[in-house]
Amino acid sequence: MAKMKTQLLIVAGLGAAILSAQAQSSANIDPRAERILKQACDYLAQSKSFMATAEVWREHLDDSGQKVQFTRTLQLDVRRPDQLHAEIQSGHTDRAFWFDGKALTSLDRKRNLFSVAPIAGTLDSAIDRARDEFGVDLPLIDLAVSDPYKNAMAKVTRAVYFGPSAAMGFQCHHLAFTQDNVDWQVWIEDGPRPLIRKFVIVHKNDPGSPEFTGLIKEWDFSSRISDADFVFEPPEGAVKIDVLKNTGVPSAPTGGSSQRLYSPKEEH
Amino acid sequence: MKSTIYLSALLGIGLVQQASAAQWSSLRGANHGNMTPSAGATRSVAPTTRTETRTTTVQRSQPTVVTPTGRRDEHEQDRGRVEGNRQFERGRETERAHEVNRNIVVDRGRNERIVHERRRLDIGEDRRAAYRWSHYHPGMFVNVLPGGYRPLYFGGITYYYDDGTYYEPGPSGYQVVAPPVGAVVPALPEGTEMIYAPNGATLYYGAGAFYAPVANGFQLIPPPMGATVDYLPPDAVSTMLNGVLFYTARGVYYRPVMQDGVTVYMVTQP
Repeated sequence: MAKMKTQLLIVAGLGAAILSAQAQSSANIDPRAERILKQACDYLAQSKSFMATAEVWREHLDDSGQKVQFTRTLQLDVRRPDQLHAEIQSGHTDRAFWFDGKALTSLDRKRNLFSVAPIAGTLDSAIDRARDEFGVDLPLIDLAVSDPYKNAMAKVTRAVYFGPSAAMGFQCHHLAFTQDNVDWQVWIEDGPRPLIRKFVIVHKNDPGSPEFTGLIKEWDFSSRISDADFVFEPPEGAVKIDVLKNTGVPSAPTGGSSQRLYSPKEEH
Repeated sequence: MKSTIYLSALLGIGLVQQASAAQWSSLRGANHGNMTPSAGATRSVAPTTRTETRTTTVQRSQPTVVTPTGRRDEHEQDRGRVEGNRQFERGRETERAHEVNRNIVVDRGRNERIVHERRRLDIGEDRRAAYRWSHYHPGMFVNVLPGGYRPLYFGGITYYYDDGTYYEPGPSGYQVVAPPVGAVVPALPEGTEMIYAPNGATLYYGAGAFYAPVANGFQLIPPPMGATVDYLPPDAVSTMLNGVLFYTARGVYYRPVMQDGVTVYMVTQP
């Protein structure tokens, strides 16, 4: 009997602790921030296809110790559930990526080289596999996941609504979210179309706390995105090269003994 | 001064650490990824990448240094003397920094994460554009050597070394030449990356040349078979062999492969 009482007390204590933690968590989440973010994410999730044109910035601590911003222009075409096309450009680089539900193709336009990684499935799984297996982490990829709200709120411990604020010339709601590893902010257009206009991620635990900033200049939810946009056509003279997994092992040899990159003696 | 030296050394270490955070950023990656954005939160080894000279104790074991003859006018010589003094002071600081670096345990896994994460950002070309050596390639001629150069005698030839670029006296000025394999330099070029040979040896790749750490500096070595680098030597040219694309430089073949979403190059045989 005494043992049962002790067990009941432990269970009650645990329950109280969980409820207290939940209450504490709820207290840190401003419902306005939660609601506005959900509206924007639901609008995005319900769109079968879209095109976003953005300017993205990423901070980097250079060898001098100076924090330098590098920028890229990005055009992201998404057709749910399993098609994506991204063009990433700057004065120094020009890359493009295609995912068609069967493979991820990477094109280095500057060198006219491309590779094909065998990744099949939906965008969600492809995004994770591309990152984890092939080291491909595209900017603003959070827009392409099937449930942007769940993805965004997965590890949020605090959410704040800062009220109206202009971004990219649009009147927006300014929201800020805290996680253990990153802080992030989002500016969502105030109006009939709750579009994300600005997105900032701060890697607060890393040296220099580098920031990522995405400025989404244009959204297109019309049907102007054609099937051809998601089909990779090699440019004239493009050469296919192998893709290396994170382990350093070629994943898709294109044939021939010359593919044995690590054992030259075995090639002959 | 002492605290400044050690601060500089630690800053150098931090410079490698910072790269570990290099991915374009996504909440998806932050919440679910197995990439380790916090890899830089712990110590990593930073190569000495600044232009510097060694202390006199170190210079004893360096290759014979000769004074360049002709080529420089009085103004240049004065500038060279001043620069030499500055370099001597910088060298003392860097020597300390190098000693500090040697006391740090090399964590290969962490360093490799740094390399991969830098690639994911695809900012290599942006960064290299800021390095002086990126504007020179073998075959180029210059009228005047850049300030801060070091004369270097190796294999019966007098070279002049400046931050990864090697010069030989030419008919009218100086010609940029290929790095003389075997020579030892006191400092690595700016932006040098740590790499690993297939046998596990820790090496450096800077300004398109490979270096191995030796007691008195860094020795130029032949490209190690199987090593992967982010960019080609400046004099590399493309060639197709049996339908496979290679780049060649100084008799060495590099094979392009895609890794981390960018083109990298593997030292190989055709």
